[in-house]
Amino acid sequence: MTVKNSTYTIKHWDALSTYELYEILHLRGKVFVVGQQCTCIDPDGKDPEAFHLTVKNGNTLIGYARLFPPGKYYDGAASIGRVAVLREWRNQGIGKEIMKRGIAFLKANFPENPIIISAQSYLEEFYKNLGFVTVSDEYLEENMPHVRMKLS
Amino acid sequence: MAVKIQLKRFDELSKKELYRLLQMRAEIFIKEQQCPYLDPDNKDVSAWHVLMKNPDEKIIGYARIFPPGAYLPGATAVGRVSVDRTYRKRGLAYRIMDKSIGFLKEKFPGYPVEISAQSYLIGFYQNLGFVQVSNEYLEDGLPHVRMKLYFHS
Repeated sequence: MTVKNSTYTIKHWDALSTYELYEILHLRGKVFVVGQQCTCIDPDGKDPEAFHLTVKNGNTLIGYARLFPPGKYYDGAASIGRVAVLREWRNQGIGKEIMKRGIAFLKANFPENPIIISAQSYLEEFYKNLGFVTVSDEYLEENMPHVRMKLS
Repeated sequence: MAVKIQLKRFDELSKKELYRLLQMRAEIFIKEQQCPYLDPDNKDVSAWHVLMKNPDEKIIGYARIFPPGAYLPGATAVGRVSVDRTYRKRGLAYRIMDKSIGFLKEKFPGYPVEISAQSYLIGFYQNLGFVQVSNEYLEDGLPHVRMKLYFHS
């Protein structure tokens, strides 16, 4: 299956089925908890406030991000988080496509607000290529180095 | 303290209930036990979910139950037995297990209940009638033993 057969969908929490929610948390568990060996609480209570962007190839969920309207994660700014692509689907431009669509959605719905993200440091270049600028020093989040970045 | 216990199949769970039970499992099994394993393992769709709720309707205790063959061949199973940290030492885990065992005895009396129990809980499960049926092994890096409960008519 090629990445060209992928379907990108954005749904608010309210529109997700229980099964879709489970699939999302399964993928996030694979990528963040197991993949990054992070003993963190992935279902952090914030998901009911978010829009959920899913990438499916056929019936399989292969990529994801969550999108926050302004005020739900950062005051005055929208946000994108939990950007994840299954290991076997990486290096095919899916992560970039997820970000482009997430940014387009937030810009269309909240044009007055910047987008702020808490980005893992090793991805700083990836986000810079999408127009984000670094607006903080490095800090630790779940024991991993992050920087705050902003897209105006 | 008044608690209520509900048993629900996966598709009877609300999104809020599913999210809360996965959150509680992450708090206990991933964070508290410092074990970065895949908690939503895709097996939940085949299970019954035992939800213990406090008077505010918050899930504070949990277990998942599998029919014969869904987790282990020839046996039913109970797993992810957990109680929210602030509700421990009140006998709630025993109540969750009693409910689970009662349900399995009624529905599948011909099958033993088999569990993969963390070793430090051998006494807890023995008090419920389970016997150890294996040597110790590691599961997700933590010591476990297999235990079984037989129903005698």
